[in-house]
Amino acid sequence: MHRRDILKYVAAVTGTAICAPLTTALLSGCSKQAEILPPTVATGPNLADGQFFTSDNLQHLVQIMDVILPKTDTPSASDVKVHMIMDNMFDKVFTPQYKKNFLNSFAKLNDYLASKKFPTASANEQALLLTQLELAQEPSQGFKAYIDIKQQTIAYYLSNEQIAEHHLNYLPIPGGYTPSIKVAEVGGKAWAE
Amino acid sequence: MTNTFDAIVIGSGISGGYSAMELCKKGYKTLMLERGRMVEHGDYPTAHMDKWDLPNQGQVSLEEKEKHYFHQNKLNWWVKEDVKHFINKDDEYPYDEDQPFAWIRGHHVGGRSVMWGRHCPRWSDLDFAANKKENIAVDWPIRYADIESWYDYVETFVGVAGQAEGLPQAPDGKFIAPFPLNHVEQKMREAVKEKYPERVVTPCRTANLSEYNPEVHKGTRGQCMARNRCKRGCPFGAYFSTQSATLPVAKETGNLTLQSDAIVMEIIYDEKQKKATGVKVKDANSGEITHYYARIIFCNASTVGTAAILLNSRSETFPNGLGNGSGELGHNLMDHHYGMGASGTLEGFDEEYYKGRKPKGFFIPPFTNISQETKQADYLRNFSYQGGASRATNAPTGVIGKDLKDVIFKPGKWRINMECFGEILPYHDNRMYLNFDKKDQYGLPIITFDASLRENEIKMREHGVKAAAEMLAAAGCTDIRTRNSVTTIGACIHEMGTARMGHDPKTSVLNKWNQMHEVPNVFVTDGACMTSAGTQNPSITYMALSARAVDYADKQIKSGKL
Repeated sequence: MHRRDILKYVAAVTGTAICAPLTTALLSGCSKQAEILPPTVATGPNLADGQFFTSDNLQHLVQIMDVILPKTDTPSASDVKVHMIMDNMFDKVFTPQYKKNFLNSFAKLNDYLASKKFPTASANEQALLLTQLELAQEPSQGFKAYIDIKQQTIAYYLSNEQIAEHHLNYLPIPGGYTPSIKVAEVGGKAWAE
Repeated sequence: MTNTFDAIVIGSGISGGYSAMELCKKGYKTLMLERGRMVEHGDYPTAHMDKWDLPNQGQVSLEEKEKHYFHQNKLNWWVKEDVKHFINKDDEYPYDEDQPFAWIRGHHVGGRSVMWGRHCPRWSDLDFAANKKENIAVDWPIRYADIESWYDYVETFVGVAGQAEGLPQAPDGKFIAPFPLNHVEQKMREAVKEKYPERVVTPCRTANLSEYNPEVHKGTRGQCMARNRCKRGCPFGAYFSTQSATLPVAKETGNLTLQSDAIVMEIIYDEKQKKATGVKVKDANSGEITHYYARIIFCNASTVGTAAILLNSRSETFPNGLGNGSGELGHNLMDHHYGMGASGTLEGFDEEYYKGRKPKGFFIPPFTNISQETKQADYLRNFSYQGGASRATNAPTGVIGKDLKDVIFKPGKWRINMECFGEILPYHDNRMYLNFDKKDQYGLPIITFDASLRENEIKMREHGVKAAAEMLAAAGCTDIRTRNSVTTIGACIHEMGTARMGHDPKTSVLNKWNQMHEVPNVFVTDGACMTSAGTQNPSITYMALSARAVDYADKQIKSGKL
């Protein structure tokens, strides 16, 4: 599957339009590795089995999504329970075919990451591994699961109450419509959905 | 309660609400019958919910979809947690298909006026004259001049936000202030106009009160708050619905009796008087049968619902359904087709943004087959577009970690998306009929659909997609993605045509006043009356025809002719 088709497909699954400019893959993720990132929860407490994912798979999900969206001055993906939202979506919403395909690809992703010692790697090494995986010319077998995780992580993170209310422009009753304003007028932040 | 009224209106949706209000205002004691449950204005449980308040990110679970919404979910964007309580459960309200059909509806007071799209484009003489000009189906018995003043009349009450453009194929309405194009939509308008002068990108003509004037916007209306959560029901009464507008005004006259959970099984025809005398109603909860009587009956049960009631109203004179001497009842079923369009990214304009969620984006009226110069060799009729420009979330490839967070909290790139809506010709063979060998839980014969798109529609789609991409390119978009997935008939939720208007009782069901040729005290002013489909969202036309038909009926009654 072509990378573009995968992203279109993911948008259809999450029901959230995520704009991913494919022609201008930014390489900043590769070049800015000097920055020290905080450790992930790789060594954190074990998670119980979810409704859909096993404890081990949830653990793997959390490791990956917290490299995608780590804790900074804003919460990490798992801080706002993105992994539990994902678990619920897989349990309640997604089709059996999608779930089967995801688990197949996810198993390959986990094998690949294990072979690269991802779980015990430093935060910087983890980020480098995932960035390389995403930018590889020939997508690896776990690529599709990784892209699904990334897209869903972003979508569910932004639709979280804490994130939407505190880190985006949250305005449930705008009171009217202004067709043109400057981004600076609203502090450079996006509107919460 | 007495069982005799001056008028009975079957259905409480957008046209039923309008018919009932007009009848009440003229002093007719009116019984409005709704087969579904009561929904009071304000009874909108999800109106104030944010995404995190809704289960499953707003998505309905797979189990629930498979059990209850196997037809309704054919529109995979439609059955969501925020509106599912206004959508029929298919296991409770079954229908059959000889060919795939999406019959999307909600049985409750207000009907689809609660969840409707609110677009209010007028028809023009291009539409009314098309059948005659092309010798297709039958001629419309009316022209724009017959309906123009009625558009004025209903639009004033409804409150249609829009921008005058002076286009003959899309006549201007009695507009209140538009929801203006945003920065990028305006740029697109200018760029498209430069390259394709006949293609006009204008703010959608929408029944949302950009300006609230209590003098004319009567009922329980209010200023639009730009929440864009209209389809959940608006607690501010800012968009037009039965609940917010026609029902409170009708009630205020003291002439309205509203009965919910009242299923009209059939219209009663009196062989001696040669007219309809009333309706046979089943209580949806108790199953009890009651007869109600009236001098005139307005059938506004929706295109398919109305045809089903008429087809089920069999008598010695009308063994094939009330007023069905022509045999056209249930035939000529139309809708609009969509699932085609394009989207693109517009680089730049990084400092530009908008505030508030306007209820509608832009509208591009038809621009093909509107003149000799725009005549197409491949297909008849035309298509229009609805779309918008907005800044989506950016998730650049290869960016993760803190860098990704920096990106996703900011507005992403501008994307322009546009959806094409095409006309479906009136084909006699596209129809719905009743299967009298199979009954639903209320003992009503099962409605069965047999309709499909034909060559003209498929050809038109190709041009619709191509022209969308052309306009995005003209606007300067990159990464233009086109789509063309054919929708089943019904999927646009604009069913029309099952009891068409026409000059001749031999080939049509209704005359030019929406009056049954063969049963003069029965009027049909919902989508069933449509003789062709145009590309316009049809509700405002139903409202205009309803007000016009009530006015005519009133004059007929007062002059002793009815």
